[in-house]
Amino acid sequence: MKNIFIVLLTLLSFSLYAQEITVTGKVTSTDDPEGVIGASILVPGTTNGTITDLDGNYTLNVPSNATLRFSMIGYKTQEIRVNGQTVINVVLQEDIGMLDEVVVVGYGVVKKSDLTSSISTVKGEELQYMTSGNAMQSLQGKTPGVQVTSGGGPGDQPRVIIRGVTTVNGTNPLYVVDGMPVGENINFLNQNDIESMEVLKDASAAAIYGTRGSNGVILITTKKGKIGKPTFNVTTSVGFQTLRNPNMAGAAEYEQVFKARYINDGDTPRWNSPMEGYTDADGTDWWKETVNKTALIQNYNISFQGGDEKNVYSGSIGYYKQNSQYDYGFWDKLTARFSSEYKFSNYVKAGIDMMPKLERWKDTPNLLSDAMYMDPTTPIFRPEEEWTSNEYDNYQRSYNNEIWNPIANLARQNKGTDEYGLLMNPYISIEPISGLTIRSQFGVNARFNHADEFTPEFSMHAQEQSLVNKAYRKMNHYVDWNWTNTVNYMTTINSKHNLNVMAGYTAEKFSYYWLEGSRTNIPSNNVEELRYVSAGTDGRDASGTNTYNTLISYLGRVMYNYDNRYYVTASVRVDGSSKFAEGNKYATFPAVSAAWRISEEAFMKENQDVVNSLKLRLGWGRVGNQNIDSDAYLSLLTTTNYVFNGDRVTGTALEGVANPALQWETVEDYNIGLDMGFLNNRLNITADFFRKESKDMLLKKQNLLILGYPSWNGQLWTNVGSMTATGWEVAINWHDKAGDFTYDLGLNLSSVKNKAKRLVDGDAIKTQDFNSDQIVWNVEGGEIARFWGYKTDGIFQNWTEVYAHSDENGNLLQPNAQPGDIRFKDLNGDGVFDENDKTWIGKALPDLMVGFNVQLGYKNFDLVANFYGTFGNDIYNKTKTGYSGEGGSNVYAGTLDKVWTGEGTSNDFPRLSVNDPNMNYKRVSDFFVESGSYFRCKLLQVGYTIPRHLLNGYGLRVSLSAQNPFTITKYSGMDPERGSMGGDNITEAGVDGIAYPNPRTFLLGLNFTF
Amino acid sequence: MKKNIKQTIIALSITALLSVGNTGCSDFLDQPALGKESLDTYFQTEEECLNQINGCYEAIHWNGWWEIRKFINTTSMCTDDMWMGNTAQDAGEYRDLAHYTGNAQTDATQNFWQYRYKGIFRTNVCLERIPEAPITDEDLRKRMIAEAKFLRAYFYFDLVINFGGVPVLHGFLQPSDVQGIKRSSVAETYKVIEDDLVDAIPDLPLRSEYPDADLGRITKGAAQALLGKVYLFQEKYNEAETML
Repeated sequence: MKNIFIVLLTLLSFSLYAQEITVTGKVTSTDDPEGVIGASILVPGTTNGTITDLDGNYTLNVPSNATLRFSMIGYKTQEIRVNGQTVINVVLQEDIGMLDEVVVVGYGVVKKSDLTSSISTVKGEELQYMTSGNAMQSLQGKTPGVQVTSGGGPGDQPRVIIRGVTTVNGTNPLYVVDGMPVGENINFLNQNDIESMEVLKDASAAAIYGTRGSNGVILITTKKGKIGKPTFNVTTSVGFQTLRNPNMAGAAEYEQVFKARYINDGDTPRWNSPMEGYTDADGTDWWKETVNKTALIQNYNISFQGGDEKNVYSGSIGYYKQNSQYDYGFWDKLTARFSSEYKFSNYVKAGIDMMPKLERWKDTPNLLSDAMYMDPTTPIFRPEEEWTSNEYDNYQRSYNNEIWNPIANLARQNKGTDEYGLLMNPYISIEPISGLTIRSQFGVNARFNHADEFTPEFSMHAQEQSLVNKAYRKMNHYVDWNWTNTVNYMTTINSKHNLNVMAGYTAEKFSYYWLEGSRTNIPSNNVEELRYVSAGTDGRDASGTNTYNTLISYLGRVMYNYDNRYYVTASVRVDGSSKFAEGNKYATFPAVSAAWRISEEAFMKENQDVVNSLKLRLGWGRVGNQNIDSDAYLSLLTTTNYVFNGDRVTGTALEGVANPALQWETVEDYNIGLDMGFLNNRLNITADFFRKESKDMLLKKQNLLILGYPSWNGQLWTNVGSMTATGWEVAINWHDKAGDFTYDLGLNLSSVKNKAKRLVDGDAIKTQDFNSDQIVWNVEGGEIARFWGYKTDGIFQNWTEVYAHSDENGNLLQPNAQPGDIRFKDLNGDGVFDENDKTWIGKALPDLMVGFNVQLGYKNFDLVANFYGTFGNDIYNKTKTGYSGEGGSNVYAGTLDKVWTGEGTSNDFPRLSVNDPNMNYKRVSDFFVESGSYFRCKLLQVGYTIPRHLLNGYGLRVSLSAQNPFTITKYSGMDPERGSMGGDNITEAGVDGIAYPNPRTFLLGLNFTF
Repeated sequence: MKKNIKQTIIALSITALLSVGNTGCSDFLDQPALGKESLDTYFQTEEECLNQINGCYEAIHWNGWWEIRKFINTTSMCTDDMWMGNTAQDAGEYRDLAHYTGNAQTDATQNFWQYRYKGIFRTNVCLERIPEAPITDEDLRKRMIAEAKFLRAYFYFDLVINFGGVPVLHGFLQPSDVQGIKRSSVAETYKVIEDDLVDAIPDLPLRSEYPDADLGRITKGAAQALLGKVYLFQEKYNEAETML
């Protein structure tokens, strides 16, 4: 009876509700048999849908004849007809199809299988294993052709070189975040916000960015919302960093070395310390006092995403802080992001990405060198009876050298900056007819910062003092906006011809406003409240102005393919810039690329199991560089001073003569590449060969002095140089699973040769001064950044050897040498030892760069390891002067055992000498050159994911990591990676003068999802 | 029908895009340097011209920490008037002069040459622009031109007595203009100097005619004295006597 009643009711409800039924079920997957959370179940064509809960179960009311679509990112979508079933369970299959992935290209997206240019993609998750302040440090070694070298200090930006160097005017690539070019520094970006990073390596990909694409372009896409119940993710990572101790000598050895230098020259030691016969305990270990053993590093992040058919959103808040290894100095940033996209209708959607940030830093001082070389017999403080009321006076001046007391220096540090920023990217996208998309985006990148500095008044010694204190402030405001409009049309004709056309227009303006002011003579040194400009009573000084730069561009691109087998892409960009004079403002940057998917051909179809994808790519393009001062094309005036009638009278005169014919640098490059996928995409290999050449490189050209131009040697910016970069890269990836064990291995290799094809009038660019000489020479026709100097040939062990080193008439080649000095080679054999005996003694740029990445998983454990190394590069180790004790500096521990003290004691290190008449330590020679090749473990991380069922379905992963735990290298300096960076410019690379090395970091991390 | 609508919409969108692109382009790309004056817009008032002339005066001795009084140092270092002391630090460019080991490449000689020509450049810029500047006081204009000519003559004189015949430049020249220029002979150089001074003398006021604040500016007497000296150096004793 009851049953009939139920049946009648059911029949009734059917007729009333158009035969709707309730379907339930469980969704699992091949690697989540307990149930997949957040899988989407949708009735296509309606808004009727739901997602699975924590156990993978779902319930949905649908018409009994409906179809249900089950989908989840990373899995193949399944559609199942309801057909009256009330229970439908689904097992989702993993989608290892890397080819169907979508890759972001300039102003659009393209399926990976359709790519014709050289673009590498790195998923955001791969970048999140490493804890660092700048996402590029995590990119190191993950993509071939991208050389990332990092410095270790808080806030230090890594140097990124994509496929070699073709200009001396800045090598940084352009960073574009969500379609908005943000310049050359992504320190502000929270690594956890990155969804994916695409590196546009060749010109055929980067030409669409025109004038700023000459060093490559890096496209960063931040996480967006996705349809489903909101998910939260909390990540924390806390640890400490340590620096390697260089092991300097103690007071006892220092005294012996100091005195030996004078005695070896037949002189009396000028020992200024108050006593003789120091022991190590009597002295000061400056490294230990100045540099802290550990420095805290922390990273916290909360992010969420969710959405439905109408609105998807995501956001995050993150905090990162890195302390310096001193008592003073840190860098922290508080970043937030909110991104939302709203679908007004099937035709119109609009969205906004907002990223506010607060970044602060207290400048990390540069005291490593002082801490190493400071006189260990000097105590930190002077005797108490000498103390004054000014705390900064009470430190002890070095007894035996001119180095300023590093602890005193640290106490006086007072320099920091606060920066507030907002990056905003609202956009609207209209699709009036199927296939046609019109998109307009207006991005704003505004940063406001103020830098404060206070230098106290102090007097420790006539040569270590500052008699006036000063408060200084500089306020910088940057407001950049970018308006990008594109029209995109996609269509397929006759089912074989696929066409994708894009046309666009962009306008950008960069505005920089600044004001700086300072005053001196603040009444008190020690009162913190008075350390501001207004408190000063003297020396009022102020300046400030605005600078604007603008850019207008027209872009166009056509992508055509026939039957997904033959591809051709052509693009062009016309840029107009305010940095050049009338007539030279515009430049055109074309690019063409083609690809052939050999694996789609009929003759390849039989081998699909083995070779499942094979594509040949060819590309050519032209990109530009406008990296010069905004007013380089104008002749500007400056003020002059003269005296009439005893009074100062000002006047004006030209400050510089401009070259109105200035125009862009252009880089042209060719690329040929092969993408291969084997064994069902378990093995992927990509290989590229490229050649880039720059033309009209901007260099300062000297002119005849008689022209009388105001600049030194009559220099004018002129388009006159040319550089080439030729090389290859290979990326090999293997991923597979065997039961519970999954593994993912990646190997990246690349090699680039950089040459200066043409410099100004054949003159070499010489950089890195060293005792009235220069170490790094860049000559026309030769490789960039090589060392030019003398060759050594061991040490003279006795006078016979000194006399033997002479010409055929018995004239000594090295008249100032004595036993214990370095023997230099007379390379041209002319019997005279001079400038003509110099040759190439090393090169700063490597022959091969290797990145190796491993990801292993076993049940709930995972292991991530990243390795990176360079081979074939040399470093000019200036820190080797640490064996000379020159100027009374401290020396490395064990120096007395290493240097020459008598016949046969050493053939590597010359005798200690105070005058160094043979210039052992004053010449540019291969004595200082060491191999800089290294292979470093960048990251070693072990993680454990606690099984879901133990935590009510929440996910928690615990990890332990070590960053830079070990390095295999022959280099004796502190850090081969930092040493190879050299100065700011690539023409200065390779000289190690003690800069903040990369620290070893140990971290504990937690990752919580719910 | 559908295809036509499609095509129309595509065409309209592209036109809309391009028209958006063409609004106010050319002004947008003109961004002058702010906070600094530029040569293109200068020499419009009396004051601006005077400022430039004052700038030429600075070139007599220069002002930087190492350029100042350079010319006296260089020429006197070789004589008994000056002695190179300073044993604690490197004497730099003057050591070679004091020890008589210098040559054309010595820094001091190079800098003398370079900086005198920088001074000549400043006077040339003035002499090119002041004659056409829109100022009303003709006497002032003539005086300024005369001052510039005197200074140019003075600089060339310094060059010719130290180096002999030198290349003579008049006007604000580009590097391409001086390709292959040769050194003029001693006589030609002197002629140029004399011409400048002869032009300048009538337009320069007497010392008493200058207001007090201008004490130090070039006077008629100064120009005459320099011309006399120039004649003496050339052993043109008769002309010298007249002048002096």
